[in-house]
Amino acid sequence: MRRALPVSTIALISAFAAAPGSADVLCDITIPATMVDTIGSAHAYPGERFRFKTTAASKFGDVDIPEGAEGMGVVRYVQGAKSRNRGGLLILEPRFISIGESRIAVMSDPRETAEWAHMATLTDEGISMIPIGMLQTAIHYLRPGTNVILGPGFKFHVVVMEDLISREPCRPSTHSTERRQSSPEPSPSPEI
Amino acid sequence: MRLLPLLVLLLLATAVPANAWVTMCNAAIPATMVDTVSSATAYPGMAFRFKITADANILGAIVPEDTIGYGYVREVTAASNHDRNGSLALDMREVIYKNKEIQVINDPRDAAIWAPVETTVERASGYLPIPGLVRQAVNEVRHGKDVTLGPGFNFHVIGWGDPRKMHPCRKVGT
Repeated sequence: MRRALPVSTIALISAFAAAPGSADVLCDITIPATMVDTIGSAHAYPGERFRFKTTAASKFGDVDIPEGAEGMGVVRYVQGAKSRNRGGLLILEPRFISIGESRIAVMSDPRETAEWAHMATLTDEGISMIPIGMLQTAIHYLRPGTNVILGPGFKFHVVVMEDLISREPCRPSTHSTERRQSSPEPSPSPEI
Repeated sequence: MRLLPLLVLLLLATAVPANAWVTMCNAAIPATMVDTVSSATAYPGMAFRFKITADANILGAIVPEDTIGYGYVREVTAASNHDRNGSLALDMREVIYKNKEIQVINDPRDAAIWAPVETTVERASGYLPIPGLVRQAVNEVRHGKDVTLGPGFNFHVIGWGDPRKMHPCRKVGT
């Protein structure tokens, strides 16, 4: 019994331990942005275009990116709210910022979440603590989900992608800046 | 008769949601991974390579099979304790042909987030009307599984020309 106690204690501690934190990721040029168009999970469709604009001036090499520069992206995934407490969900993919006739490739800041949905309310969190699955299921069964709407005022960040081939736009803080030096280079694309 | 409102309510609650529209996109091009990306070791923003697996006409450019493309890891969650599985969201960005970058997007009709498939036992356990505590206790001590996407993992990309002039996908129906 005395021997079993530490083992069970360790097992309990490891079972209830918090998940390990994510590693720090450093990105090159991060620009704050906000939506221009309004995208709602009730009516959006995958592949739909949307516009956004920068909310602060930035510089990328010799190029000045002014505040208010317009960009464009696509809706990567959309799920409308449904019955049984299934909330709406949106995944957006910003693609580029237009500066005059030129385009600067950008991507979502990968340090932010990809999935935009309503947060659980205090009531939801409280209900999830109730240790009787059937009661919780019954409540959710009768409750409709809510849609998520992202429009002007919704803030996010984009990261400038200089060149995915030679340099990763983001990397762990301890990672080499050059991309996959140890991995073989891809063979050149065949030509017809 | 008094049960009628309750029956109507039940019917409404269990009704299948209407889906009267479909997404139509430019030609979907089959592709597969070249690099291996695992939710155990990947980090957000990590670049990876893929290749297309069939000759394709991407917005007028004839691109042969095995042409290399690049993408990055949009979101990654490593598997952890309490039965939390790992997941990966990948963004395919461009196909490189004759030193030219041809912009592509993921086929939005494919899944956006990749995670281990639920086993039959796991799915069945979701239907058990037993007190949640039992299920919670089982999951509490179970470690989640990571997801690994590598060569052989197939998906689709779609060519994206000038987005100011054209939609890569359209909604057909209402």
